Amino acid sequence: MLMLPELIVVVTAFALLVVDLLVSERRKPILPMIALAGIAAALVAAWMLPQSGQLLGGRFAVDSVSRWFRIIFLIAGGLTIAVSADSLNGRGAFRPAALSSRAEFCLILLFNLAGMLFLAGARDLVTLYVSLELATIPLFLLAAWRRDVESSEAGLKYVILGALGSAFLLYGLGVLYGLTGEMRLEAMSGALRAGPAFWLGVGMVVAGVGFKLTLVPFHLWAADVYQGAPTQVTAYLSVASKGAGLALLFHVLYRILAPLAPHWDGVIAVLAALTMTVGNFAAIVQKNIKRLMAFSAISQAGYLLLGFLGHDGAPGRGVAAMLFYLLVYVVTNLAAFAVIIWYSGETGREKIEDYRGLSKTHPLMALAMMVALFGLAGIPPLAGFVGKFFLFSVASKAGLHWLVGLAAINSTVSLYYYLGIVRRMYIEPAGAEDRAVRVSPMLATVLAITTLASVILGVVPVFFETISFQTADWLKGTLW
Amino acid sequence: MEYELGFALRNAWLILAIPFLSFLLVGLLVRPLSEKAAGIIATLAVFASAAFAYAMAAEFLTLGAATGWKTFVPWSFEWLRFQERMAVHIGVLVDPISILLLVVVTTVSSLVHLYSLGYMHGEAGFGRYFTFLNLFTFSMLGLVTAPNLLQMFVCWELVGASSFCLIGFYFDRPSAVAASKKAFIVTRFADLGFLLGILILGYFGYQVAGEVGGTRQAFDFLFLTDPVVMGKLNAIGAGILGIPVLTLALCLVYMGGAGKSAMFPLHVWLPDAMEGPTPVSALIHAATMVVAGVYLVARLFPLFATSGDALLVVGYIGAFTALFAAVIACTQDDIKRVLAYSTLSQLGYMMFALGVASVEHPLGYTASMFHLFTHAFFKALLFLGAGSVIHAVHSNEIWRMGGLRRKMPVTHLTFAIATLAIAGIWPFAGFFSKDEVLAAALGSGHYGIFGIGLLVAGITAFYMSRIYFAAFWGGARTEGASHAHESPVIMLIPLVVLAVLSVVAGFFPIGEFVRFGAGHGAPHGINPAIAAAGTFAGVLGIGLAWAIYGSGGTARAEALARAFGGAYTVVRRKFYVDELYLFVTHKIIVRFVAAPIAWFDRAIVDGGVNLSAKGGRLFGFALGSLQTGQVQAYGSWFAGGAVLLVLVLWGLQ
Repeated sequence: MLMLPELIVVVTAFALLVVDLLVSERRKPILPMIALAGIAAALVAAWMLPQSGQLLGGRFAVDSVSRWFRIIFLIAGGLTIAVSADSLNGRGAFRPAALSSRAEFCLILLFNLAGMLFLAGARDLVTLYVSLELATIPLFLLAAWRRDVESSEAGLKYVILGALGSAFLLYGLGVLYGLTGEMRLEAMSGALRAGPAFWLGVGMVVAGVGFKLTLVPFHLWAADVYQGAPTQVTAYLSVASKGAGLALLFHVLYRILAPLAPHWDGVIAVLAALTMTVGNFAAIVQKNIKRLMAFSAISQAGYLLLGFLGHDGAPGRGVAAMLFYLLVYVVTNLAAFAVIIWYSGETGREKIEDYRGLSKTHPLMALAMMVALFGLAGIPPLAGFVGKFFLFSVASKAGLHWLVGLAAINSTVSLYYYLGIVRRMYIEPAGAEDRAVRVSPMLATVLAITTLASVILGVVPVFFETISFQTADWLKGTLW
Repeated sequence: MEYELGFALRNAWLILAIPFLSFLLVGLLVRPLSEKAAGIIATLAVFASAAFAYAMAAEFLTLGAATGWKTFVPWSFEWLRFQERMAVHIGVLVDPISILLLVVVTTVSSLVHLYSLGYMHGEAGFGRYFTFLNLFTFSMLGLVTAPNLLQMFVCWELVGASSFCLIGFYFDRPSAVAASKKAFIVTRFADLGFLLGILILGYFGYQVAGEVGGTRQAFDFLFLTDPVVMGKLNAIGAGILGIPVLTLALCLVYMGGAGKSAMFPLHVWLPDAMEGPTPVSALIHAATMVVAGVYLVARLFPLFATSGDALLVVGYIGAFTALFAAVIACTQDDIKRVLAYSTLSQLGYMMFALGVASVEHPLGYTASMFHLFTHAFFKALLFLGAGSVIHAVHSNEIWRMGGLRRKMPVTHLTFAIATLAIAGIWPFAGFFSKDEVLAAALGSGHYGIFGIGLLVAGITAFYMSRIYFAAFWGGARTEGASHAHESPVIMLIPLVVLAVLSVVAGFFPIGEFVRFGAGHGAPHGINPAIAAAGTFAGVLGIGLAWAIYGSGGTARAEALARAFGGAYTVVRRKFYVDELYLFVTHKIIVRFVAAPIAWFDRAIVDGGVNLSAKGGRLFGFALGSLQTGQVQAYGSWFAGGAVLLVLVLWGLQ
């Protein structure tokens, strides 16, 4: 029963294959809908299931943190399918942006989603690694989905560097296993002894996680892959894949390395500082909006990392802040990406300057984009502000005031390039050839939901309180 | 409160709520739909306010006899809490002078609203005009009923802002824009002093509140004018330059009042403010807003009286302004500017009346409020009459009018009544209040001020008669004047109402309840000697004007101007105060203060910002150059980073 969400997702994936064979071409737009229905069912299951329990002799377990990870992953996956539906059905006016083979696309995406769900529940090394691979390898396929030069290049780069990342991670896990002789994560923590080999293992594991989370200096693949991949896949990479990286890092830090908690603050702080600074400053000079969003996503990973600080003062607060910001980031970033997907799908244009005058031709789309960008920049009262506030206060409570200052400076810098887009949309006049293009009901629905969510999450405190309350519960039960 | 309050006083919040809600309704909802409806709704709302104010006044008058005219706050709620004993309430304070001002403000405001329906008919921005007029009325009522210094300050700024909007109502005319800016900047400059004064009073008031105990709030008037508190404040002693703290604070507060009431040397904005529509001049720049400064001093009068020195400053500046403005008024040709200088002069009257008052001789306090009361009516009437004339002739220049006596009989008659009222001729309202002011000055032993007051009374009669004769007597001097005809009825009704008030207001027994200190200032009868001297000055002034201007020709006036030569020019150019200010601001402040600051801002501050931006971009480009697109390079960074990470971890353990 505890594995119900994962099972629903996998079964839906296979059901898609069968239905694809049975229905006629005209009926095939139903396929993304089936995928969405499956994800929705999994989401309900994840919500209703008990908040703790284990299966398979403790190799797979659920607690309140992994429950929230699963919920966030499912939301991200569902929204991605929803914004991809138009391109999958060949509805966009710009033909080259269309995505072929809708059943297979959904299938692979669902497999990937299942991998991430398993990852959240994994409690031993093998489960962890296998589910991580399931949460990574399908992404290579998705990145290369369009088979044109850019997309293929993105896929290839992703495969090569992804393999490198996996190799580091696997080698690091192997070393840790060799040192402890334990497969179960919590058992490993008890058997750890510090030493050169141990630090070698930890370093390699963190490097592998860094690949997934686009931490500097393991981030270089991100810009090229994000730009070349189909925009829908970029959106998915920027939220879901990042979430999987966080879940992995959570396992590593809070389960395997739990006894060493006082030691990791410095390393995490430096990685966070590097990541947010490099991401933000590189974003300033970008001209392509997908590349810009890639660097923006890198900097957001830096903020998210702040949630792993401050273990000795108020345990658990950091986790809650991290989960809450991840949720906020998922809806806000997907709102921005929904606009980008729509615009490039209808016009084929993805330069930042192509957004000039959007407020004249599409006032509502420009408004949604502006709210999303302000949310990413962290402007009150949007959820992005509240989320960042909690994360920064975690760093502040950990005594890392320099990092809070740096993060605040970074937020200001990020405002520059986010506002650059808003300025183009609102202040510059539309080009002579710019005219209104179609907005599909599906896209409008997604945008309405995500935009509202990015406001409501910030204004209504109950969401953060729930996450905070439940994760605090977890910490009491397990770690401290 | 041991007394039973009536409906109006129990619901005193309505006096603020009615115009405020009407402002929102008219400004946001009605105006976009129908400009005409906006005007009508705004006018009805102010009439409703007026009715409510009368109800409050009636209840207060019946209550007052029993309670001894006690000050109380029938309604308030906490708005800001800084500290215990330092919270700010929004509320309605009721005492004789606030009731007096409520009646004056709502009466004049409703009549001006009505008049404006005719005067502004067909103007672009009709709805906008009434929106601002409503905002002004709300702000002014909030100022009058403020139970503490901070509410007063907030409303003080609000009336300033609405005044700014209305002076610049014709924002396509550069002169109107310049005038609105001038008014705003000059009064804001004065308000800086006011705010400093409030802060000083609040700071020491808070300390005193701590000593005295209880739950009273440092900013409340009821607290500040408590005899115990005033004694403690007065005992604080020397502040800066040996000036006692209380005197310093009150002088700063008075600076705000002097700015709003256009006392010398902050008077320069008021004549220019005549760029606004004439009804606005009547309401804001004659009858209500400009008396806010007088009201402020009256509201804090117990404190001023305790300080003594601060009151002398008020008195002498007031007397000087009264004379100074009256002299200038004799030489101006724009009918509204003459009235503006006349307003300055009369405000000076009210101020020095307060200044000569003291705890022993409190008559000036009553006289000042009395003069404020009567002046509001006849000055509003003069402005509305001038508006009626301007409406007909399409010019402000008195020499472009003439002979309007027959063409505009109602305007003529009401204007004549107002002129007699301001000249202080029995039985018109100005006679009584001016008499009381002069009696107060004489009674308290300020003979110099009494002399100035008497002189100003004569000059006032002269220049008012001058414009009256020039505009209404003789023959039409221009095409416009010969084709003039009477204004519509909707504009004449307010004229007639105000004319009646200008006649009867003097008989109102204001000394019965507006007074300071128990027993003193009992109803003051007419002092025959002073009345005779005042009347003589008035008649002399009128006679002189008749001799020079009564014919309607300009020959005698021009000969007189030539005879005075340079002196005439100096006065006509308003003693070059404006030029002096321009010199100081442009040549000295701009060159030696503003220019270096601007340079610092451009070169250092902006330069620093631009430098950091440039640095950021360079850093961004440098990071971008890492993105070679080559997988080998990425892989190398990855491996190198991992090795570094391992080393760091190892080193940190």
